[in-house]
Formats: sequence, structure tokens, C-alpha cells
Amino acid sequence: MRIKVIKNGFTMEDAFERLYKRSKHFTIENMDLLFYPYTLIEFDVDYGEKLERLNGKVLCMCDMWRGGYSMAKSKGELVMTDADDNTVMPAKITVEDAIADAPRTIYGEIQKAKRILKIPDINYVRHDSVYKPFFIVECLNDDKEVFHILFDTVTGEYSLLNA
Amino acid sequence: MIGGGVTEYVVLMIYLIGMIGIGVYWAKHSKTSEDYLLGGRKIGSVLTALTLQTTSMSGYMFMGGPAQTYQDGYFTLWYAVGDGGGAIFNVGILGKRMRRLSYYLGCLSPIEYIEKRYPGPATRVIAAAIAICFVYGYVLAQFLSAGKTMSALLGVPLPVAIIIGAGVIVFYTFAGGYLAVAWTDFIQGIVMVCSMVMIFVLAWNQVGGLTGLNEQLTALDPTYTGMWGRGDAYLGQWGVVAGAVGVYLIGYMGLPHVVIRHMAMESPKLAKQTVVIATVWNQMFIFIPYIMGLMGILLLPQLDPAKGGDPEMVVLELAYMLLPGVLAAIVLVAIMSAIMSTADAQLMLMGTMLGRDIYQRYINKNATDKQLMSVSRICILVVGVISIIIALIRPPGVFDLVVFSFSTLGSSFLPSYVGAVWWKRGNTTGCVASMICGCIVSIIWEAADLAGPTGMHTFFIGIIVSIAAYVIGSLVGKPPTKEMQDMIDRAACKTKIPAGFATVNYKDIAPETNGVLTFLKDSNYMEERGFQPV
Repeated sequence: MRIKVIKNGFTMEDAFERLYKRSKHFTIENMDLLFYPYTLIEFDVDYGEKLERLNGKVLCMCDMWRGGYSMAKSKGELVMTDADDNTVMPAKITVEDAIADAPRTIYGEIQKAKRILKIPDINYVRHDSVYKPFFIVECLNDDKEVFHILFDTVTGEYSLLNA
Repeated sequence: MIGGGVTEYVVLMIYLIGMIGIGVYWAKHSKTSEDYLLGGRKIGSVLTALTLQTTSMSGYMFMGGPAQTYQDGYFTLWYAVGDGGGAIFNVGILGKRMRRLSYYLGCLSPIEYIEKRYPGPATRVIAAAIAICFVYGYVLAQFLSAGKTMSALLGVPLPVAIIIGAGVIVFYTFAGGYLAVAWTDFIQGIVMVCSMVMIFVLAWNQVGGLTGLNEQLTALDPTYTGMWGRGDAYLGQWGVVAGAVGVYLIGYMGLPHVVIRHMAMESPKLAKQTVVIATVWNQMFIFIPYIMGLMGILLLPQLDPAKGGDPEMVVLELAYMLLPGVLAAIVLVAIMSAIMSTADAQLMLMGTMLGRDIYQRYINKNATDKQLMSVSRICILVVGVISIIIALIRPPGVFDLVVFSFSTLGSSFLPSYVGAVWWKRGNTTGCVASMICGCIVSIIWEAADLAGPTGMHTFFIGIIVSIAAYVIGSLVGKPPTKEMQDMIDRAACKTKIPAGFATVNYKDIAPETNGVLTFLKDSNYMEERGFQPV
């Protein structure tokens, strides 16, 4: 299937290098891509203070698998790519629900940043369904036991999958 | 009636409104069934420790425990010894491994966990039947306790007290789900421990410290300070002592509404911190009510049942004797907190079991996440309302059945929960045998009142029979599959993670990590892409 993805900052080789820098006591046996679903939603926010960071065009990123929201600075570089169906995680949240729920996060962020008296106007502008590529990395320790790592190809962060 | 003044009403109302507020707040944050039923498995160590301990401690700690000490003297501290170490046993033995295994098995309820670890139709039916009957019994008992306490302390008619007390519990559990339950438990835990410490310090000075307390008790009756109870009532009965220590030391590991707390932990790594926090909270809270019972013998002789007094009022009478009005009213709130923190967890579990284990298993196998969440919510509301109605009617006999819920649940489930993560050979035959034997023996022992004549506590005999049945059944039955045994090994984390990776914890991708794990378990990605199962 053809999907829109956030462009990789880290290739497989970069991931190899980054992981081996952390430890030498393992070998990588297998590595493959998995695409995680998000929706980038743009809102027009107005609470009267034009120079503030969260006033004007605001981007909210919705995790379409778990339903979490976070503010995004920019869309990043988006590219179209072909992906095998079974490497693309399906969305569990509908775009309509995401658009309806996201303003609550924006309102929360505004309140965290600044005490405001006016209830902000938050108007939906557009959305983009995108995927973030992750590497699933299968490793063997010195005793030849398997463990897995999830590697974020955009930020280079990683975590143990079965810890 | 002890309270009943304007101060008590105002403090209690502020507290109840606060609880409702927490329910409303978390109602907006539960988007998936995992959020609603398990707090999205993102409960930190402090919250886990406090919700675990407050769920374990019911109103008994403020009323029943001190009353028992008032009558039996130091003997009752056997229960406190067990309770004090209960958190270490519970989290230390089950915490980390159960969190991992429940995650690998993709379980949202403690019954589903039993069912998936010990697959088979008999496991499912028996576990659900025992849990639903006895946890429901527990809910009823707590609702009635909440009503009775409010009524006795404020002079409100019992039906009104039940509707208000239980109604608030039903509301915030229904609205906010697990997160509301956990946060209300957290606040309730702080109120409980602060109020207890406050009265304790003042009462301690009144009796002249531990030396003064012991000297005066010995002067009254030397057996008060003995280890066999007043008048040496339990002389040489080691079975009763073992039951008294064991019932709380290991008993909580068999209670579904308590062990579900392990499943909701943010990470298995939090188990160690949770043990420390829960143990500290325990040491501050557990021994105090029992010792206050001893102080009550000296400071409140009028509460002796022989003189027509009610020793269950020890803590409250001490509060009103030693504290100014507002602080005494907070103690009243603390008693309600103890009851509510147990009741909400049980009600939440009822909703989880009816939604996940009954509705999604038998009625609508293809239920969407939203449907499951709605059905669980409705079940909580329906069970809550029915419980309030039954508590108002109080049919004869119902409450006699629920008093031994603790022993029955503990005996039925403890070997299966512990064996699930510690014994790879533990299998369906063992699990079914232990649930049936533990449950039946507990019921017979209690119904025939055999604890007195045999000198064997119900929990003690129930757990011995249940463990024996689990071991024999597991040795006779077919071993678990290789896949299950591997999973248990992984839950034990026997794979040595290279030092560099063991400490990796990028919080930014933690949500995605959990999401990816769920996807990998539910899909055939790993198999198709040539990976070993995760």
C-alpha cells in the first residue's frame, strides 16, 4: 500500500552503529520496518494574544493506535512510500474522534504556558494521516538468548520491547 | 452517635464532592478500554503502592481491628505482623512477573489472566463464578459498612447514608474508571495515614509510651500482654496463630481486586519502588490501629462490651477525646476513605469482569474497544445500583455469606496466581482443582464453624488444601505448552539484557513501545517477517 511517512533521519546502518555504540555484548539477527499511525491536525487558535507561541496556526499530533495527543513544532518532511500491508499498523481511533478530542490537549497546553481569561477559539483547519517508521530489531545476547528493540528512525531513540 | 455537628457535615461534604470531582476529571481522560479498565497501564510506583494498600485495608482497620485488640490484647498483633509484611510478599512475589505475563498474554482482567495462563473452559467458568460471587459479596458488605458508619457517626438515617456513601463510590468509579479509583485511593491513603498518626501520637503521650502502656495493661490483666490472647484463650493453638499471620501476609495475593494493581503498573521495573513505598506506608498505618485498641483499654474503659460499650468506636472516641473538632472530623473522613477505597476497587473489578470476561467472551466476541468500555461502565452502574438496593433491603442471610469472602477468594486463587509466574509446570488441571477445593473447604469450614473446635483458621486450612490440590493436579495433568513455558521464562526476565541496554529508558517513545508490543502480539508480523515471538 502507498502511505505518507515522516522521512527517516536514521537508516539501518545508522541504527546498527548507534546500537553497537551502546553495547558490544550482543548481535543483531534481524531488522525490519514497522509503520506507526499518526494524524497531524492543524488548528487555528485565537485567545487574543497574537505574539504567543500557541496563538495562530497550531499543529497537534494524534497517536492513532493509543489515542494520545502531543503538540508538534512542524510536520517534518513527509514523503510517499510503498509499504507491505502487514508492516502498517492500523488506526484504532477515527480521524473524527481525533479532531474532536485534540482541542482539549491544545487548551491544556495553553493553560500550562499562560494563565488566560478568555476561552480560546480553536478551529479545525486540516489534517494529514501520516506514519512514522520504526525498526524492529531482533538481537541475541552473549548466551544466545533473544531480545527485541524498538528503534525510532526519526529521532534515533530506542527502547527494549520486552523488558 | 459521636459526630453529627456542622463541622463533621461540612468536612464530609467537601470530601465527597472532591471524590466526585476526581471521577469527573478522569472521565475525560479514558479513551480506550485499557485506559478505563487498567489506567492505560501507566500507573506509577507511588500511585500503585497506595492504591494497592488502601484497597487491601478496609474499614476493618479503623473499627474491627482496634475492637479485636481491645478484647484480645496483644494476641491480635499477630494479624498486624502479617499485614505489615503483606506488601513485601504481594509486590515482591507477584508484582514484576505478573505485570509482564499479563502484558504478554494481553489481559485486562485478573480472571482473563487466569483463563489465558491456564487455558480451558472449566478454568474460565469456575474462576469467573467464584470471583463474581465473592467479589460481589465484598461490594455489598462495603456498601453497607459505608452506610452504617455514616449513619452511626452523623446520626443520618441508614437508607440515606447508604444512598449518599455508596452513591458517590458508584459515581466516580462509573465516570472515571481505574484512574479515578487509583487517584481517589491515593488521596484516601494520605488521609488515612495522617489521621491515624495524629491520634496515635497524642494517645501515646497519654498512656506514658510503650512502657506505661505495658505496665498498666499487665496490672489490669497479665494475659493482655501475653501472646495467646486474653485469658490465654488461644493457648497452644499454633494453627490459629499461623492463620492469623498468614491470612494477611500472603492472603492478598489471592484477591483479584488487589492483584489487578500489578497489571496496571507502568513498568515492571517499578515493582521495587512500589514495595518500598507500600512497606513504608504499611509500617506507618498497620500497627497503629491495633495499638490504639490497647490504649483504648486504658483510656476508654467505658467501651468494654461487658459494660455495654462498643469497642469498634475506639479510634473515633480517641479522636474526639484528643483532637479539636475539625481534625476529629477528618478522622471520620479517614474511616469513610478506608471503606470507599476498598469498595471502589471491587466495584471496578466487577465492571471489568462483566465487561471483559462475560460480555466480550460470551455475548459479543467482536466488540469494539468503545463498546467494551461502554459495557464495562454500564455494568459498574448496574452492579452499583443493585448493590445499593440490596443493601437498603438487607435480606436475611446475605451478609453472613460475605464475611468469609476474603478467605474464600484467597484460598481459591492464591496458588494459581503465584504458580502462574513461579512454576512452569503449573497447569489447567492444578488450577481447576485448587479453585474448587480451596473454595469448597473454606465454605464448609466457615459454615460448620470448624475454626474453634479444630484450632485451624479458615484461611489456613483453605490454603493448605488449595496448594495441595494445585500441586497434585499440576503433576497429574498435561504440562503447559512450550510457548507458554517460554512466556513464563520471559516474564521472569531470565534473558540477560546487555548492561548498556538494561538502563535505556527513552520516555518519549514509551507510549509507542507499548502500542507496538500490543500490535506485535495481536498480529502475525513477527512470524511473517522471520522474527522470533516478542
